[in-house]
Order: sequence, then structure tokens, then C-alpha cells
Amino acid sequence: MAVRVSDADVPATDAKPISYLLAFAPECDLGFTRREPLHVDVGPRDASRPSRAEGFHDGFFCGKPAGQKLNPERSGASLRLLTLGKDSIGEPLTVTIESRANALDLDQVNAVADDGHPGNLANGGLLVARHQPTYLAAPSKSGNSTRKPLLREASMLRLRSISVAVLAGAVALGCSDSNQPVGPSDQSDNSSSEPAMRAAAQTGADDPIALAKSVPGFGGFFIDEQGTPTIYLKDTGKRAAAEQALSPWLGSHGVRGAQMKVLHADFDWADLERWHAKGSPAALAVKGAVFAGADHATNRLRIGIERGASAGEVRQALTRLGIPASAVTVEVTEPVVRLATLQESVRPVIAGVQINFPGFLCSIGFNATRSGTSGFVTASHCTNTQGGTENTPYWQPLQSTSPIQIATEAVDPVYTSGGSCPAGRLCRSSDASFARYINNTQNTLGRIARTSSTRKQDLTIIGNWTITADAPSACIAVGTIVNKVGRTTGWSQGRVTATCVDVNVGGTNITQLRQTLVQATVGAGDSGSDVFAINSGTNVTLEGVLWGGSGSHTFVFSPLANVKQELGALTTH
Amino acid sequence: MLYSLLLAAALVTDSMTLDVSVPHNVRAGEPVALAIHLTNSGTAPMTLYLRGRPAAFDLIVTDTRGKIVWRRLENAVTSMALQVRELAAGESLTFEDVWSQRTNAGAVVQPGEYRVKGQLLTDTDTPLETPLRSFRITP
Repeated sequence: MAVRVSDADVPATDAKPISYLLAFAPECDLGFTRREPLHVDVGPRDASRPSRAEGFHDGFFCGKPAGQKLNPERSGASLRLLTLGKDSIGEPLTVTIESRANALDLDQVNAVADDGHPGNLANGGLLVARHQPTYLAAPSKSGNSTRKPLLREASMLRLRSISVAVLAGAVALGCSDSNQPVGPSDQSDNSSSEPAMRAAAQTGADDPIALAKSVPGFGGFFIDEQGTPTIYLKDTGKRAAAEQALSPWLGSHGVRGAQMKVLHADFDWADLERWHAKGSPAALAVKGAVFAGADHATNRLRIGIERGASAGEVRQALTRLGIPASAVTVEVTEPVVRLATLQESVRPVIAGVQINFPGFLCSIGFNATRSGTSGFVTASHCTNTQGGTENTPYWQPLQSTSPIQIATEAVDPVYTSGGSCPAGRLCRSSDASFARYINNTQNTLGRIARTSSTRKQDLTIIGNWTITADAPSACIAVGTIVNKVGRTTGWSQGRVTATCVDVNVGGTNITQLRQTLVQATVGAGDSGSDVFAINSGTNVTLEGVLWGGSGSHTFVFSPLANVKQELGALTTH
Repeated sequence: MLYSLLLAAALVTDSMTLDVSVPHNVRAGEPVALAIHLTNSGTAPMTLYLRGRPAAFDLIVTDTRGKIVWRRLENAVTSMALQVRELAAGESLTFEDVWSQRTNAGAVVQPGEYRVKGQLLTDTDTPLETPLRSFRITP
């Protein structure tokens, strides 16, 4: 597997090779015992953006589709069209610039996986073959009742469709590891099956690409979204040679040669590989380029660029190298970024990720600007001393792994007695403090880490929640649904069960005044977490800072109005 | 009995022992001193992840039928910081509290036999738990 990643965002010591993303679910293999090496060149990212997963469907790298909290904003009819399965519309989800005048907003492209969780398939479309499915039997009038996948049981159809798409993508985006271009003699217009037989003898039945390369005029091999093995040939009359060449692999998968689909190839695979090697560096040098690869599924050199990047510039760069324009497809995709969890190093720093101060782990509530100073808000008890400012140092995620301090405690009002505070106790109306960033720590205002689901084991950051408003009132209505993202239990969601209540903190003489209780999952280390309400899509209203809990299914937070009252004016987005 | 044995078996690992201490006999109306003792019984340092600040621990008093009569953290709100505590080989931690012989509802309990167990809350749903220990409240 060869994936070149150049991500300016990830320090060498911190970076995980993107190849680790490729070693996921067995569904990805479709029976391969040796996975075909993947050649995808991935471009560098804008250093000002956070290291996180952004847009790429998990399946892009052979992972299972991510579960994602289903909410009304994400399950509109238009999105359901993109659900993969036997009724899949069979259309790529990415947007080919040349073919779509009005590009879809890829951020809005989601699909619902079998488990009912929508997964972001914005780029999963890269992996979906563009061709109409082939069936073992003719479709019925309804068009789908007799569909049978070639490579999996019907009961696995939906899941298989995703897996096949992944495989198609894996094959499509490279599989050129052998560096053994087809020799001139093999490209002769000779329909003899001799080369194919040699290939079968020399290669394993688990490597269809190696087998197919022996066929003259081979232009690509992939499995379409219906599970049909499909081969590109410059001369479709060479079908017999292709069937014979691939017979070991087809046989091992229970597919007859006649069931394989043959498509006309405009380009020889060897040429595509050569153009890939020649053009990839130039294409990826263009600002906003994301990936470059020879694509088995389209018989083209495929270049992915971020929205707003210049497709023309990519094309010009390739044309200057003598690569035919007709052999190149440029399409809009999301940037490739390193997946990180809430407990790992995340730069720029965003809300919800782990912070460490001496002896403790907490979560960042939200980034904020206070009196012109950039910093973050977390819980007051996530400082060396709860109440009072002692310049607590912070690291992210851990001092032991990331020893450069990111911030210093700057504001943490003391707890006081008297007034509405119960006798013998010390009170504040928020368990919140402000720390200022130091050492040029990159941070992004108004962003909260977003994971794919409310399962507490799901800590992988796949994007952001965007703060678009601050809650105006300290006393949110009981019954309101709010959310939190914290380093221990990730994203949780639940209803407000009590509001503006005074809460004694167990094991202390502290009382927090006018707090809010929520019935939702919480765990040790979630202190300091952001609490927010979802407005629409990923836009949210910031509600406050989580600090406590009762058991594992009730958390308590300080309303944002109280936080601002005690810490001073804060700009949160 | 089997339940008690199973609990006890789960508490002593190669590197950690966890127990709760309570006087065998306490006069009615007198405070009952309870304490959880955690010891690193291994030969290497160990890292504990404890919930809350101060670390949250629960003490649960039951009657002989297993019915809970008092629970230290009943409806309590604790902070949700995660304390990372290094414990050297042989080092111990003690978490103490006193039970007033009243139920969580405030009623005075009757003399008789009771049991107590301790729990240390961590960053997981499963607390570290001591075996049950019996004690008697005498008239």
C-alpha cells in the first residue's frame, strides 16, 4: 500500500500514516486474501485548518460507514436519494466539474447506512462505480425484484454495496503497485489466450489486477456497485482473453466468465499509470489539490480538488506534460485530513478536546476572546485551585506526549459566601475559568469537535459543530434538547430536566448557583465540556460549560450567561 | 455467600488490593467510621484514573437482605474532572467518611447486622469495588 501524504498540519512525530485508515473492515476485501496496493497521492492541506476527518466517508478508506446521529436536518428526501443499496441511483456522489454545472454542496451530501445512521458520503461517491449494474437475470418490470449481486448473498446487498463501492474505489484509485507495465508484445491485437494463461500460472487467484494486466488493451478492472466484475478493454472483442486471464479469480469467487462485464477503454492502463506517475506531482502542486490517481472505474486519470480550487490550473499543468486532456477527470472533493480523536493532539485547538493540567484531565469548553486575548473556557475546578487564579498550565492532549504548553489560566474568580449562598458554603454561579493561549497555539474560534454519533465509544473527530449564537438566557426551558462533546464520552444528547437550580458539589463545601441539569451521558474527564443546542445542520447555539454529574446519565452545566457574568465579556464565534 | 465470594475474588489483582474497613460492633446512635483502602500490591507503579475532584467514592450500607439503607453518593453531584494518580509500589490511598446511622431519607436505622461495600469511581462505567464487610449495630 502506498499512500503519500503531505499534511502541513501534522507534526512528523504526531502524524499517523494515512495507511492506518486503510486497514479496516474485512468487508473491504470481498474475499481478497491479499489486498491490492493502493496508489493514491494525497495533497497537502491548508495549515490553518484542524487535523481532523473532514468529509471523507469512512468507507473511502475501507472503513465501516460511520454511525451518525440522525436528526431531521440531515434526513431530507434529497439525501435519502443517496442511500446506497439495491435502489441506489448508481451515480457518483462527487461532482465532476465538467459534467455538473451546478455543483452540489458537498457538505449536504449524507446518506443513511443500514443501521439507520446517516454517514457522510460526500466522497464515498468516489468509490461508487459510475456504470449501470449488471444482473444475473433480467430485471423485472419493477426493475429490481430479480436483481442478484454476483459476489455476495442478496441479504448482504446493502452492506455489500458499500463494500463494493469501497473496493471499487480502492481499485479505482490506483492498484498500480506492481510497476510492471504491460509489454509491447502483450499489447498486440492478438486474441490468443496464451498471455492470460501465463499470467494465471504466475500470479495468484487473489489478484485480479495482475491477471487482467496480461490482457492486451487492458484499461482497468473494478467491481461495480452491483458486485459485477467489470473490465475495460480497448478492443472489446478480446473478451475471451480477458475471461481466461481472470478465470482463476472469477472461479475463486464463484463467478462465470460470461458474467463479467466488458466496457470499451479509451486508454491503455499502462498509459494511465505512466501519466499518473508523470502528472501526479504537477497536479498535487496546484493549490487545493486533494488526490491524483489512475482510476480503474473510469479509465481515466482522476484528480480531486477542493471546492474553489482551479480545475483549469490542474488541466493546464497536465497538458504541459503531454497528458491528453481527454484522459483526465477533475472533480470536487473534500480535503483529506488525519483522523484524530478527542483525546489526541488537535490543531488548531477546538472545543471538546482533551486538556491536561497537573494531575488531571478535562475538556475544553469553547474558544473565546476576552478583552482582546485569545483563550479558552473550561471548568473552574479544571485549574490548580478551584476559584482563584494560579496560572495553571495546560497541555493538549497530555504534557507527556505534547510537552509544549498551550495555555495558562488567566481568569478564575474566587468562590464567596453570603448573599444567596447557603450558610457555611462557598458559591459561584458558574464553574468556569478562562485560560489564555500561549506559544502561538493555533486555535479556531466558534468550532466544537464533532464525532459521528452519540455512542460514547465514538471519540473520532469527523468535523465541527459551528457556534453561530450564544444562549441569551441563564435559564433554558426544561425539556430543551442539548448536547455536549467531551473527551471521555464524546458527543451526548439529552433533555434539560431542571433549570436554574442551586447544586451542592459532592465532597466539597461548594454550591453552584442557578445551574442546569440534563439527562445525558457523562463521564470523568468531561468537565469543562461545551454544552450546545443544535439549530440546523451543524450550526449550534452555545449554552454553557459542563462541570458535574450524578451517576453516568445526568450532567450539570453552568449556563453561558452565568459564565459571562463571572468571567467578563467573551466572544465565542 | 457466593455473591460475596465473587466480589472478593474480583478485588485482589496482581497489582491492587481494595478493601473497606468498618468496626465490627458500633453502639446505636454512634457515628460509624468507614474507609476504603486501595493498595498497589504490585512491584511497579500503577496509574489510577479517578473520577471527580476530590475523587468520588461511594459507600453503600445494606441490611442482611441486601436492601440499601444508605448510600454516600445517593443523588450526589460530583465534579467530572478525571484525576490521574500515580501510585508507587506498596503505596496506599484511603478514602474515609462517617455514617450517621440514618437512611438517605433521614430515618434512624434499627440495631442489627449490616453490610457495607465501597466503590471508587473511575473513567469507566464500572467502579472499583470492595468486598462486602459485615458489622453490627448494638442497642
